[in-house]
Amino acid sequence: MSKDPSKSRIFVVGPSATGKSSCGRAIANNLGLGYVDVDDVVAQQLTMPVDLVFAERGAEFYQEANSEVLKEICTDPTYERSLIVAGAITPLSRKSREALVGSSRLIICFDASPESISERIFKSTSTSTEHAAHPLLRVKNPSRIISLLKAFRQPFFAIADIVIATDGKSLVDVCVETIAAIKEECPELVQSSMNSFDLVYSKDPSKLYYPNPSPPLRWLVESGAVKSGFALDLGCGEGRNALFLAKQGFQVVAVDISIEGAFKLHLIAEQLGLENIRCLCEDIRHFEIEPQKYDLIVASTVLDHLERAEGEKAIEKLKRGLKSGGYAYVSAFTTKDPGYLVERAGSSQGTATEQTKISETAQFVKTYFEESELKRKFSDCDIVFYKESVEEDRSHGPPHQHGIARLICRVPLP
Amino acid sequence: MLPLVEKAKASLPALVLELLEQNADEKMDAILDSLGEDRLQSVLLHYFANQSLGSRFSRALVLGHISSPILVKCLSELLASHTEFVKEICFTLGWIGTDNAVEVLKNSLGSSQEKIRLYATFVLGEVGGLRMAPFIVNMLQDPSDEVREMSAFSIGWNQGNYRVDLLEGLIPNVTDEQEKAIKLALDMIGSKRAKELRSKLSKR
Repeated sequence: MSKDPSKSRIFVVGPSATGKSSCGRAIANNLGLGYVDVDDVVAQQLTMPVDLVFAERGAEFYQEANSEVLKEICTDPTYERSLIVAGAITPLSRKSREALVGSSRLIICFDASPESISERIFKSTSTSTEHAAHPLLRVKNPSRIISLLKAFRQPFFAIADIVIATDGKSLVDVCVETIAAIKEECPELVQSSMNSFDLVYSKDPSKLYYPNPSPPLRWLVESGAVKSGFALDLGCGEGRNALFLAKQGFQVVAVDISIEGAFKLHLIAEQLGLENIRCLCEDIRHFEIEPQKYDLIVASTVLDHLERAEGEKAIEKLKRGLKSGGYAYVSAFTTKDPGYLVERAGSSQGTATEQTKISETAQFVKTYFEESELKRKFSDCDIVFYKESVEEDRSHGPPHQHGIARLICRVPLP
Repeated sequence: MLPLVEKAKASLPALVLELLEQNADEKMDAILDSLGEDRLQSVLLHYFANQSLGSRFSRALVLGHISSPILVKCLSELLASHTEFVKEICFTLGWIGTDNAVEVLKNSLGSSQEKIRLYATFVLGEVGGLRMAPFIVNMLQDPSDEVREMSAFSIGWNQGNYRVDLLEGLIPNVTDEQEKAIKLALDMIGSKRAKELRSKLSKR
C-alpha cells in the first residue's frame, strides 16, 4: 500500500473479541489522536445502548444507523486526527463499506482465529457479570458458530489496508504493533503527536529509566503501615513503583499514557511471573478511578506533567479513589528544580550551571509546584510525611538535579 | 490437444482473478458473461476447491468488483445440482448480497438437502435483513435439529426483540422439538419481552 500523507482518520475494524475497543483508546492516547467508538455515537444519537438497539430494533436497523454515523465521521472535520473503532458487523453493510473505503483514511483490521475468539468470549464470560449471558454461548456448539461467522465475515474485512493478527498476543503487544504500523503508514499524522516519554522509554529496551522504587513509598510499605490490598499507580512509567507493590503482594493497576512504558512493564511483570499487575495505557486525565477502591494510590512525578488545573482534577479523583484509611504517595517537581529556573529565565537563558543540572526530560514538565503547594492540596488528609528538597539524580541521562516535593498522606477514618 | 485444453481450463480461474487484481472491474462482468454458464460453473467449482483463489474471489465479490447476474444464476444451478461445496455456494450468494442472490437463498430454505437449508438459514440471518426474518423464523419448524438451532441463533443474534411477535405466532402449533429451538431463540434475545414469552411457553 502506498503511503498517503493526507490520511487523517484511522479506522479499526474486526470481528468481536479481538481487542478493538480495549486497544483503540490506548493507541489513540499514545499517538495523541482523538478517540471515537462508533457504537457510542450510535447509542448517543438513538438515545439507547447499542445492545438495546439490536434487541429492540434488530441488526438491520443498527446497520442503517451505523452507516449514517460513519458517513458523518468520514466527512465532519471534527473527526480528523482521530482513531475510530467501528462495530464488529460494520463492514457487512454495503453502505458502511462505501463510507469507509476512501483515500483519506487508514483502515486497520484486528484479526483472530475462531479459537482465540471463542477463548476470549469464554474468558470474559467467566470473569465478568456483564457478559454472563453472551448469546453465542447459548448454542450447543459455540465454537462451530464462531467459526462459521468468522469464515463468512472474513472477506468483508478485506476493506482493511493493514491486518494485525492478535492471536496469542497481549493487548499491549497488539497496541505496540498497531502503533508501529500507523507510524509507518501515516508518519505525518503521528510525528507531531507522539508521546514524549515513548522516546525516553524506548531508548534502551533492556534498561529501566528508574530502576528502583521511590524511597518514601518503600518505607511506607515495608514499615507495615499499609498492608497489601488494591493499589493504583498513576503515571506508572515503566513501573518502578508498580513492580515493587506487586512483589509486595498488592493487586496493582498501573496506568500510563506511554505505550512503550506500559509495554516494558508488561514484559517485566511477565518475566517475573507477577500476575497481580494490570497495565493500562491510558491518559490519567480521562482515566476513571473507581471510588473508595484502593488501599494505596501512587502518583510519582506525574501531576507536574499535567497543566495545573488538570492536576487539581486528578488529585480530587485520586482522593475519591482511596478507601477510608487508605494511603497516597505523591511526588512532584517544585520551583526549586533547575528546569524551572531555566524556564523562568527563558529557554537557553539560564546560567551555565543551571543548564548542566537540568534533567533530559525537563521539557515535558508543565507545572512546577510552589513551596508547600502539594501539602496544601492534600490538607484535608492526614499528612504522614512531607519533604521538599533538591536531590541529585543519576538514574537516567547525565547526572542532574531535581527540586522535588514528596508526600505521604492518609484519608481519615470516618 | 486434450491436455492443452485441460491446462487452459485449469488456468482460467487464476486468469479471471488476475484481471481482478488489475482492477479491470468493468471488463470483469463481460468476461464472466462470455464464459458461458457451463464454464463459469467449472470456474466457480475451481475457486471453491482452492482456498487461496476462493478467498481472492470472495474479496472481489464483497468489494463489489463483480456483479454479473449470470453468476447468481450459476450459483443457483450449482446449488440445485451439487451436493459438494454447499457452504461455499451459500456464502458466495451472501457475499454478492444482491436481491436476486438473497432470493436464491430464500428459495433454498425449502431444499430437501439439510445442509442447504442449514447454510441458507445462516447466511440469510447475516445478510437477509428484516424482510427475511419471517422465513428464518419458519425454519424453527424444520425437521432437522441443526437447522432449528441455526434458525434460533440467527433470530436471536440478528433480529432480537423486534421479531418476538413472529415467535409468538408459532406457539399455538409448536411441537416439543420446535419448542426447544424457540426457547433457545428467546434465551438469546434475553429481553423482558422474550423472557415473558419463554415463561408462557414453559407453562403450556
